[in-house]
Amino acid sequence: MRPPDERRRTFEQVYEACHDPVLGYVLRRADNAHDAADILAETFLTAWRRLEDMPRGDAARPWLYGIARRVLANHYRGVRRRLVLTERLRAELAASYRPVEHDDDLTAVAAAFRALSDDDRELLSLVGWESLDPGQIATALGCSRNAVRVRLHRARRRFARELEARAVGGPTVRARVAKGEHA
Amino acid sequence: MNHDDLISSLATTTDEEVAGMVSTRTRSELAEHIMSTPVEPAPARRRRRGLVIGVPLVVAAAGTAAVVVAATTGSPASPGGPPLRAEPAVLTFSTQGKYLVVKVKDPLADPARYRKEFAAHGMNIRLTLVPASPSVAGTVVEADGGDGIQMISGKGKCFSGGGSCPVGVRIPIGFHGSASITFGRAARPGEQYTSTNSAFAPGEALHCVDIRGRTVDDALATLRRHKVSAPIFHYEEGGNGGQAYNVGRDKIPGTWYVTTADPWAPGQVMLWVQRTRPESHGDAAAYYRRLMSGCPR
Repeated sequence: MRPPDERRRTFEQVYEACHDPVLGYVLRRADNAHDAADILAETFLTAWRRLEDMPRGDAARPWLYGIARRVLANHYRGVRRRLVLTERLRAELAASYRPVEHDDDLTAVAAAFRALSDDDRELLSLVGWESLDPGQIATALGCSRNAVRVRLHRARRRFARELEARAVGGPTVRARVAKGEHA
Repeated sequence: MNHDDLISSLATTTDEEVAGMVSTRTRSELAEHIMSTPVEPAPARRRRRGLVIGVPLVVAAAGTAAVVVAATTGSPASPGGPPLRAEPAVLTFSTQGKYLVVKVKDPLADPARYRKEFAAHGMNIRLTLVPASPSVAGTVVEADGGDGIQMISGKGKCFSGGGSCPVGVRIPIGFHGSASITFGRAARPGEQYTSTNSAFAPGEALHCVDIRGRTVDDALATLRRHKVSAPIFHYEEGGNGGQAYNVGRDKIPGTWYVTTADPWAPGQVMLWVQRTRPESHGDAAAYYRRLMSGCPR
């Protein structure tokens, strides 16, 4: 185990760099701001306890997503760890959190996305929302890079099929994506 | 058509939006809280079958805690009970109908001793008690365990900001992992809380004493009437990227405004203050309305 000061410094650096990315990850997947506060806190608490396992450098972020993913899964299975400290975090997140509004065509895209399995959705959103490459996804999911490539390929194919089934992909969507923040 | 872009457009929250959501103070408060959590090697695994453990915990005025263990088959207390010990127990295990009742006799004992006594009953459970503000005392402030451990909700028994009120945990039959449970206990006079609720929550020092939006001078006069003191003041400068300070009364002009308050120690609160008159808005306002519901107008 590292000396206490070095432990703190390591954690502080990662916390500083990854607080917002992890919060983003959680907010995009949690049902509401209150859950998001608990999940964020528990993710970093787990990271603190498992600091010795944390990969160095840029790999820390996907590793944290992997923890957040398990915390989320536990949370919705009913394992809720609650830090009372998150009351203020809850209030702050609740104040700025707003559910997204979809237009009709986006809703069809959303429906196609929702029709996928949890695993497929997670893979595709790690690319689309967190901008991870296959190597980083391998860190987050704890599997090999090759396995990620294969699964990603299949997930994209299934998503394409769901889109076709809903006849999505017309000019409206294209226009919207072109001016969107992620295009 | 790039499918990744389509999926991007489904993200409910962008990174840009996330950037300003959490204040500097809350951010560093969470980090500090996390880093004050002890890091210990996981205790050795121990196997035991046939128990469903429920842990409704009651911290009475004297600060005692009770752990109730629900047995599914027969009386779990008799076979394989704890070995006889010469030293006085910090937990007592006894059967009561279908329950094995475990009481924390000494809430201030060395936490390692709770673990030993749980272990003597074949349970790999680490119990820690931390000083907590009144509405949090007697609830689980943190539980860390394997899959399948559920919180027992004590709805109506405490105020937890809309979430459930976790008064214990339920461990499934066949659970072989390890768990650690942290309960809030009553604080000793002058002892600083580790775990708190809002100071305005039912049971807390300032419930129904809404001093938000008042000047520091005005708020302190009200606090005196309620025999509550404010040894520390919190303020932030420079917005979300700025600095946060915890200072004494001498550093704060009496004309500043109180935005909120946190329990600090028994009979003491930390006041959150700022130069300008605060505005209340959105969900935060709803949160405070819930805290104050039932208060006389």
